[in-house]
Amino acid sequence: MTRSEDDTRDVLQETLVKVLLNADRFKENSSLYTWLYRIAVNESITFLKKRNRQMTSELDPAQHEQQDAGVGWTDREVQAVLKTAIEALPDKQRIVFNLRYFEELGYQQMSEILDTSVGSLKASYHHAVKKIENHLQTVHIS
Amino acid sequence: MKEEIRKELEEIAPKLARIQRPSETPEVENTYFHHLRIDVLNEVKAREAARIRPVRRGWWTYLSLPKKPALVMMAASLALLVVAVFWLWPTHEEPDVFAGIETDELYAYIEENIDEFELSELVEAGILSQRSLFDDVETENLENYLQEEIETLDDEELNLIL
Repeated sequence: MTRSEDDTRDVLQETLVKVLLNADRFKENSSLYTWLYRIAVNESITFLKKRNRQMTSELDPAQHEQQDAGVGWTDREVQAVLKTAIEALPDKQRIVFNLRYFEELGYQQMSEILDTSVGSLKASYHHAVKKIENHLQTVHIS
Repeated sequence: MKEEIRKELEEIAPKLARIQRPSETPEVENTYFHHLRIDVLNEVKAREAARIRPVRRGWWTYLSLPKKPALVMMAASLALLVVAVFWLWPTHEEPDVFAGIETDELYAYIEENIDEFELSELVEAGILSQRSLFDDVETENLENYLQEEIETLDDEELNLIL
């Protein structure tokens, strides 16, 4: 979510500090996992806002011009392209995509974590996935 | 990947569904979690200490109350008034240094030490109104004195002599 390991470490530390400082606020009507995840996601969003270094949401096909012939993509290269496409997503779409694609969370659980309706999350995820798919098509990854 | 998520992905983005999902787990050094635990606990302690520490305000902070200028003006006016009253109010009388001294003794002392007194002091003390120090001076001598000193004497002194 934060695009770099150093940033991730900062967010992780801040998340753990917040968890310990606010442990008495945890309500047992939600699961501990969801509560922790919610704090972590909120910290990530806060961090990203502070940094204000959102990458352009427009993908740049010229980055991969040399592979436009559509041949010779290794797994590592494809994953690098995918990573670039994910990083280019707007912050909220990227968070939703990561929770669904990497963490394999259900929409209901994501809804509790992000405090957003399931419908809105589905739309956000579909939108993010479509953007990535379009980028893959643009660079001729089949 | 969960079946439900994989099917959803195949429907929306078949190319993405075919790509092997990259690993999102970053590698960290062996001591990372040990240091993380220490860092987190130190940070928690610091923030808790900052949260319960009473705020100590310096006296100078009370001088800046920009939110209520009318209140500040009122307080300043009141303080000025108090200072003015204290400054102008006669708090004590000058001690009467001549109390208990016989009048003749007092005049004798003044005549002997006339050089040490200012004329204004003698007038204020009411001495010259009762007995002029110039009574014993001859008129001719007094006129000569006046001609010599006329420019140095002020109106009060001239009135006194004449």
